Amino acid sequence: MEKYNIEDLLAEKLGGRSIEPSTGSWERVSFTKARPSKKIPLAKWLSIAAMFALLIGAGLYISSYKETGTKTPPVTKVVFIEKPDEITTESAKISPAPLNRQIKFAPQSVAYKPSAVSEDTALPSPAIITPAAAQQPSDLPKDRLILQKSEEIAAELQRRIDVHLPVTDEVVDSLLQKAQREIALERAKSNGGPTDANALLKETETEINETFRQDAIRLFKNRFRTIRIALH
Amino acid sequence: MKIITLHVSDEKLIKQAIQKSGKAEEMLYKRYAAKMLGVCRCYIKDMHYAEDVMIEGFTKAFASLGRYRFEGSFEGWLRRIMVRGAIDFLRSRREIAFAEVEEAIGYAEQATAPDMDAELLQLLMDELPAGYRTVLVLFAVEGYNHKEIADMLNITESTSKSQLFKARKTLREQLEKLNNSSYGKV
Repeated sequence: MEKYNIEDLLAEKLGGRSIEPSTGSWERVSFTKARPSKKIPLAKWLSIAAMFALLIGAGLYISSYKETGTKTPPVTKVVFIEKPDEITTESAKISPAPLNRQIKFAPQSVAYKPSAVSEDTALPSPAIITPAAAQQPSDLPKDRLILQKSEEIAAELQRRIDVHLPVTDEVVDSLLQKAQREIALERAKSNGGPTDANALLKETETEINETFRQDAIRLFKNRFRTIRIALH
Repeated sequence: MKIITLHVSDEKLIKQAIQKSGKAEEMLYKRYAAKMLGVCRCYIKDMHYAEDVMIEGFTKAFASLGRYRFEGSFEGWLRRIMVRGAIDFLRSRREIAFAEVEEAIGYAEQATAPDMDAELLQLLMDELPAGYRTVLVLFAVEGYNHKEIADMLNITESTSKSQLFKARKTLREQLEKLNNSSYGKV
């Protein structure tokens, strides 16, 4: 048997082969020719690409504007900006927002009776309280002593907040009463001369009772916005 | 009265077809459709898919008829379109996969099948992997060299050569098996 080169065999048998197509094949060609081209023209592609580029550019511009235009400057100093809420009748605990300033206090050598004040409400002797640098409202108490005592009370309240101790009406009243007694003693001392300390204390106490309380509360309202005291 | 249809040259038909003459296009189609289907069938096992590729090829040919420069035969120009269409079809179905194999020294395989029917030979070709078959047909039937085959199939020349070697070897084995089963051992 003769041997044939495979490639020659393939070229001979398959090279010129004809296979009749099915009937209706020309109709399929003419239909396919008549069908509109699925290709999108170049101009349309370019316009779509331009639209995308515009959208992306607008998005980038808006996002960069939001970053720079609306950025608030960092807060370097906490200033008491707003007055605290009106005193409500509900007994509420003091909100735990911390005071953002350092408070200095020059300790006074005051002898006080710790009768109504529990140990955890005692005034801290080395507490440092400095008055705020913000403007003082015109209706603040003129008496330096009252101001000082008010600030001490505020510091104590803040301390209680920091250590998560409850700050209730009773605690505040207790602190106010203690401060009143101390003010009364100071005034009694300044009047000079040996006097009946208790009688004088009682007289002075009564006199300053209401005014101190009001002044202290007014101070709290005006200067310590983070402390909201509910008093009856 | 006898009507004798004069043979119209391809050039005339093409020029008329460029002018969007449907009749000229139909005549061109009827003149070359059978051969082009034979070309597509060499690459694609299924006849229906082969016809689809052929129809798609004619559609592309008529759309780009203006680019035909009347250099070389119109049949050769059409064949190239059909071959590209068939390869694209096989790629789209991921039937063509080429693994990089070591280069094999090519030599002509000898077969003992002089009376082999074209259809039977096609059936044996269909048994080959699509990659082997494609390279073999491009080389043996269409007459492309390995560089052209590598460019068309996006493979290296060495891959083309090794695919051809394996295709020949496999086809030879099939032919010998067929001969042995038909005629008994020689």
